[in-house]
Amino acid sequence: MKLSCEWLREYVKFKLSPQELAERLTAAGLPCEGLEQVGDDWVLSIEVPSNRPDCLGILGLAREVATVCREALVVPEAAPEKGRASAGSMVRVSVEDQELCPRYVARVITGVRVGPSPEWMQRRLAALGVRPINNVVDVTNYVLLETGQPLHAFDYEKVAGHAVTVRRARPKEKIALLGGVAKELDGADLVIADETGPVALAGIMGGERSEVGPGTANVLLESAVFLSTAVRRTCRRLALSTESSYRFERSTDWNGAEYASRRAAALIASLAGGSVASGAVDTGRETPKARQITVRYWRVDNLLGAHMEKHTIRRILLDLGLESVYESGEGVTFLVPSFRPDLSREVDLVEEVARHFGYERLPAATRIPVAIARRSPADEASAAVRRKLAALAFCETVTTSILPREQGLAIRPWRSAREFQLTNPPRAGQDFLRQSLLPSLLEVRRVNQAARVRDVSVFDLGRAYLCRPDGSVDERRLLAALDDHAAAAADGPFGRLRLGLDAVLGAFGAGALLRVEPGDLPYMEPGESARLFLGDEFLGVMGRLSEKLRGLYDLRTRPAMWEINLDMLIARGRPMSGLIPLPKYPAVRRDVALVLDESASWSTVAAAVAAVPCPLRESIEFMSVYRGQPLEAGKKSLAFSVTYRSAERTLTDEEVNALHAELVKALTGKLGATLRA
Amino acid sequence: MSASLNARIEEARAQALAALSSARNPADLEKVRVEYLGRSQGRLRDLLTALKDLPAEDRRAAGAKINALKEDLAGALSGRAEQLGRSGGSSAAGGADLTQPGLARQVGHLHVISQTLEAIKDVFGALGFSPVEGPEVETERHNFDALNIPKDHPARDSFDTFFLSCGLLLRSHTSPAQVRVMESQAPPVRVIVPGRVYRPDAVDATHFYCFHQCEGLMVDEGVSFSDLRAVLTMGMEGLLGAGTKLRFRPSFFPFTEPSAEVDVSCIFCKGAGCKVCKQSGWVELLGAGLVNPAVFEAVGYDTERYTGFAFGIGVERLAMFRYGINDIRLFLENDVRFLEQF
Ligand SMILES: [Zn+2]
Repeated sequence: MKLSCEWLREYVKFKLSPQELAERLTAAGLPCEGLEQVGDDWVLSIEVPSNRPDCLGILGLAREVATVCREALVVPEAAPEKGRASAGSMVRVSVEDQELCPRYVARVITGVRVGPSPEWMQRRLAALGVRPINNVVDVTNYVLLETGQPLHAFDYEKVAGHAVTVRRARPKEKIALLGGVAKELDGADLVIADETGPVALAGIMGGERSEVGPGTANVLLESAVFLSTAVRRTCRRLALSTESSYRFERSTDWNGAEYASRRAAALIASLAGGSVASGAVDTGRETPKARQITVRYWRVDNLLGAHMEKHTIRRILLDLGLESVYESGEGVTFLVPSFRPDLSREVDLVEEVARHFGYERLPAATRIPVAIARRSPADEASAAVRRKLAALAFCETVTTSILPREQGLAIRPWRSAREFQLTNPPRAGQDFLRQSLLPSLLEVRRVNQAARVRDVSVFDLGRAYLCRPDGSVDERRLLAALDDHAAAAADGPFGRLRLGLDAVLGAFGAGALLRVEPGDLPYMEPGESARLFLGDEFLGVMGRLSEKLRGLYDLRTRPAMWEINLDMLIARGRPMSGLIPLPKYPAVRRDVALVLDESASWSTVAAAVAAVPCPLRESIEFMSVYRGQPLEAGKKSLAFSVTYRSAERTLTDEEVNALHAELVKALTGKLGATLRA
Repeated sequence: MSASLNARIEEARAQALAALSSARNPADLEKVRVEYLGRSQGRLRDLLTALKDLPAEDRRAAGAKINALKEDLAGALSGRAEQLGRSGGSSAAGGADLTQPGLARQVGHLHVISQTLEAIKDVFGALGFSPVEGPEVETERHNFDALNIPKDHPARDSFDTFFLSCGLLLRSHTSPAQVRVMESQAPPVRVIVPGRVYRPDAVDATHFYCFHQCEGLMVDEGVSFSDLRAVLTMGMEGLLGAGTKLRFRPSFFPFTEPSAEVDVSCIFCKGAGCKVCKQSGWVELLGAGLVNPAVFEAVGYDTERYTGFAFGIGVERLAMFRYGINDIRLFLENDVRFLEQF
């Protein structure tokens, strides 16, 4: 809403500079977003909150300025001289839908001379960005800007039968609006019609047929109240927005409709000549009862946390146009004016007091009770997991949950009864609510490929949006990691990922329960793909992106990745195992390198080791794997170390050698392996 | 084990240790290393070669002995080198170059959004606010109705929303979690709700359709606007540094009354005006206010007995301000060169 300082002075004699005015209005909750000089005048751009329709008129803003400056507000006269004819005998108005149009005030002005409006009016309109047209139309725009009440002037002679009906449009009914735009209407739209059809789209725009022009002699002036939600619906559907509809959408003032009608009629008569028919046709039935709100002095102090003087409370609310109807030592009961639909509760009045007293003058509390903050197990576990993976040189990512449909559909490790689709996606085709973090990580890989980042180790802890069989939403917390290095690592494409996975499982004391079950997944490369289980429960998937999906994610490489159900781990809890006592005696390590068939996995070897009982064997640790010369094709050499330790004494070389020899012998036998020379 | 090989091992040990103790500089040490541990002609190499002449049953034990000697000598060598280095041995002959940088190793990083959320949890945790979460797929009731944002009301315009084909929606703010907390818990309440929200905004340097907010809510008897001022002032000082100033401006949110927009003094120019704050000295970071009794009614709280305040922080906005990041799109793009800076 634009506000001209020169125009404003007509209603309130403020002594502030335009800059000060802008600051004071901002501090009172009417933020000034711009200030420009137009000739001798200054024009402020005020961002009016959606609950303040009264401030969409200069008079409403003037009331705020008057309260800020403690100056009197001058409301202009609106008493047209009464002509001989009566409005009631000249025009008939029937409202078919009282709900959509609770009030319609019609006045008639006869014998006008249409011409340019006076220079001062043209200047004020232009300052607020409204193009002057002629004295009659300019008055309707002027009064709209002044009061916030939209008005429409019809050429009385072009309204067939001198009768208007406010009704819902017939299906497929057409209207030609001002400016030559034709629209097709439906039964939810409200129109003003004469015998031959619609002459205006109610509250939005007049029709071309009844436009006021140079030949107009008699004017039918409309000032009405239209239901905000109905105007809003029609505007949305027809993609229209006008000064008029903007105000109706935010609701207008019941009493303002009648006042604006008088004000405009008087102005037309004084600027364009003519005579205002006496009275008006007014379809408004019962004036809505003014709301009464009691503000209790203690409640003001209680909400603001500061003592507010009684006279300050009274003064601010009276200045804003409220009327005191009852006062006691406890508080005041006010009558709320009809132009303030936002005031419906005591707390609303407290806000009025606070903003005009000044938020900045309200103190900050010095005493607040202490309380202990608690983090949920899920929150703590998530933080712990993030730290673990970052410590292992993974970078955390935060990725969007809305995916291009095809990319989202291609990787779905988790069962979901249905998918969630956006009806108004951010980009065509990007309407899929993700069911896995893996497509998100592949997109991260793509972004970094485009940025020529060669090596990427990333993880994401985020939600996937699954649907349970009963239809409810399962926003599952998942954890996924991706690794893609140009140079081959000693521990293979999955080494770093496995390290991360084991660290995560370790944080939940679940490391020993992991089962890796090789098997083909549709999105991973055959032979490089496995399902993960924790005991018997499905934990997630691991593998390398399949060659056939590489193109879908626009990748040159095939990253290795895993994804697990973090909620499942969180549900297990994070057992605090007590401290394991530090060993008193030294460990003895022995390395082994076995030459095995390619098909023998680490887990078979580990199981074979476990099958040789030995209380002094502490652990085994993977060291390296080697393929190539001088090994035959189809063979690999797997090196690992075995640690022996006793809790009671230092082991001698001899006994360790014996134990180790026994182990190696058992392994070579069971696995059909040979020792690497 | 063969007595002779065993003796040769022990002899080698004694001579090597003696040679080490008489070494005076790195060159001497290197001579000892080559003589005993040298890959092609070292004496330990010779001992290992001699293993093959032993009977099979003795080989393993002798091998282990040689290996043990190898480890011991390596340890003694580095120990003596350190001794010489400390006593000023002779760095001229190739001591450590302390000006040389290390080889780069890969290091992990937490995402800047994660770090900012952790900072928020820390600071507001110290003020007694417990973090809770709420669903992102929400109902109209939680996202709008219970927050006093009626259907077909212009107030909904500022909460443009992604709708799902099933009739649910993606929450356009974290405030619905307020409602869920109050539905499940009686006062007193002191929580923050960090989380992800969605709005169909046109994407540019300051708008992305998916971003993060952190909601705060405190409800009890006698919670007032001055408590809100105090908590936010302390919170922002905690996040942006001592001396950070706040400016409260009246505003309108359907779910708070009175409502405020809160500006924070610019940490870059200390209020003098700069590019970050568009020369104003202030940056808008929060929305806040006292909980509207209409919201309490929707969740069945006694509006006469309880009062409360709520606030919302734009997490990306806060991070952009803290770290001088000028494009919101960087956060969700995850260019590793960006991630590695935090
Ligand atoms: Zn600045």
